[in-house]
Amino acid sequence: MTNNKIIEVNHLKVSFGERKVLKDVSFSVQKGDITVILGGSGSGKSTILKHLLGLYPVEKDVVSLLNQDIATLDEKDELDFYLKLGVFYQNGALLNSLTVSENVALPLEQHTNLPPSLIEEMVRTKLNLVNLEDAFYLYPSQLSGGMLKRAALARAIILDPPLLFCDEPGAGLDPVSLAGLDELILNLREQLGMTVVMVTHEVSSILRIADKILFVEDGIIAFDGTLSGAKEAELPSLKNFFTVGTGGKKI
Amino acid sequence: MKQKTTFKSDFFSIEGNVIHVAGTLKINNTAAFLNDLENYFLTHRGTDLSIDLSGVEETDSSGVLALHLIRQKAVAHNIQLDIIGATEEVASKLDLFRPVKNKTYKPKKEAPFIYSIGDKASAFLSEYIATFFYLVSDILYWTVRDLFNKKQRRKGEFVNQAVSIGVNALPIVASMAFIIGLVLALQSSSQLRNFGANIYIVDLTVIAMMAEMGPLITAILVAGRSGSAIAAEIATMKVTSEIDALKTMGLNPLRFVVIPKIYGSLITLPFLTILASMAGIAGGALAAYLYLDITPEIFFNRMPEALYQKDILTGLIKSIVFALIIVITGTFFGFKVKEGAEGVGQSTTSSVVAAITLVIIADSILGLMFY
Repeated sequence: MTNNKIIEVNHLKVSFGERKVLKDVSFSVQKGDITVILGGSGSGKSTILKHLLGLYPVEKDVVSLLNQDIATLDEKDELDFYLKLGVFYQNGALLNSLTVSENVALPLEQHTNLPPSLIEEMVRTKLNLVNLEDAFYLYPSQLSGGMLKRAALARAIILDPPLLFCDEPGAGLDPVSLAGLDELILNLREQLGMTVVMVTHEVSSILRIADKILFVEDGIIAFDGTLSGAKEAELPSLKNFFTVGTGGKKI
Repeated sequence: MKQKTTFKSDFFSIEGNVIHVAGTLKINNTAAFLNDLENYFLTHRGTDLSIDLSGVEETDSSGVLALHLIRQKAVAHNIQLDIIGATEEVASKLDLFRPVKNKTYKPKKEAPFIYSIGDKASAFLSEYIATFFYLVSDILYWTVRDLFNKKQRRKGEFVNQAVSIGVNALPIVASMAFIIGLVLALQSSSQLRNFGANIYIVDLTVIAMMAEMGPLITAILVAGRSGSAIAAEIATMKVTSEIDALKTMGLNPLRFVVIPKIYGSLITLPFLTILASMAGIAGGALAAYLYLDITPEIFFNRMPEALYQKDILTGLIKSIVFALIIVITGTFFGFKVKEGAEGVGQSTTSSVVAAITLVIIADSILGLMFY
């Protein structure tokens, strides 16, 4: 039987000092799915994301990505592991001292032996894909918030990673730009078979693209199921997300 | 008739005018694939070719863009290259990742330096000199005004700054001054011994430390320690829009952030300077005892004869001027920050370099004035 689980988390428990942020979190993500981690502010969504990315230490057999236990990666495995991940940070996290094209080209220049002409072509194509080719020679400080996000997405997908993580990609975007970004993420999943894990609060975006919802509440996954299941769920806090997010009144 | 070829590649085989590509074409082998194809073109000038992709199992953006790129390169070798036989998956990627047609070109470089000297000089005068003097006048105005206006003053902040700029700097300033006093006396002792003027080691150390070295060492250390911190703090506040937030809350950023630092440094730097001078004199006394057999008792008995009120005042006036220079320079470069982490780093570096330079220039001017 083929294992289609691209991410597996088993009993992840996290405390910061006395405060238990994640009490017991277990879930899995299927290959090719767009999974949205949803939850109130401070519920631990970003903590889950950072553990998935290996930015916080985890114990053995707790977090497995692309069939690799991230607690047991040695230096070489760790590099290979990170080359398979694309991460789209909330504020872009572009290096301000480099132009947009240099930012996007950075992983290619550092980790591949592709000729400069092909690297330039790849950067232009990816920037064109996010509708930002005209920012090729600009610096991040010369971009607007929406442009920064698109540039960050271009950098995240430059190596065609099988797994793309997005931390609140829609925050601060106007509805039209947000819809465009969603379209792009759907397209990437379609064309490149990417699996996407996204932390977001944007209900309109969730309704457009999510396959699966993980709802985090009180340090546990309070709901784990499909988008249609989430919309029908009886959990009041989850219901509120969809009701208030679509312009209704809080239950 | 099919053309025979002896060219070998791990990625493709040649049959007549058709290049049959097989296997995977991904980022880890695209460079080698491109290299093989280009080598093949060198041996195969002038004939039109087709690339058959029916054997390609998997590819990514680098693979398909390499195919697009090689098509353009083929033209340079007078070869018309067609891509055929792509599976649906490969074809969709070929369609998705196309070379950009209307490329953005690098903006034209600025006019040669010789033409832009005037612009640069004008920009320097308006951006740096004028802004600096405007900032100085603003800071001096608020320094005086804040004394008489308690409203909006941050309670306790002056004490925090005095502790941060002055008290916390004491150990490093005192120990450095002690070492410099010791070395100064040590280097002079052999010359003085030659002339039998051992006792003048006291005059030399005391005058040098009180009027010159004490204030200078203190100012340089505080510029490196607190001047950089001031620039970094203000630059970060500017980058993260905290300065804008203060303005929109009706608070004057200069008054709120900078004036407590001015008070803190104006109060503590003279004390720090006196303590540094005393530490330096103690270092000199130790060297005098060790190398010139001048006991501490003789050294300190001689001190009142060597120490003039004018030297103490010179040191104190210098320390006040240096305090203003350090805080104003840090503030100026903090506010001049460009976006981002690198901008903060540049501001901090510039503030330390400028503060130390200005301190040394001011020291020489004041030294001449009080000579």
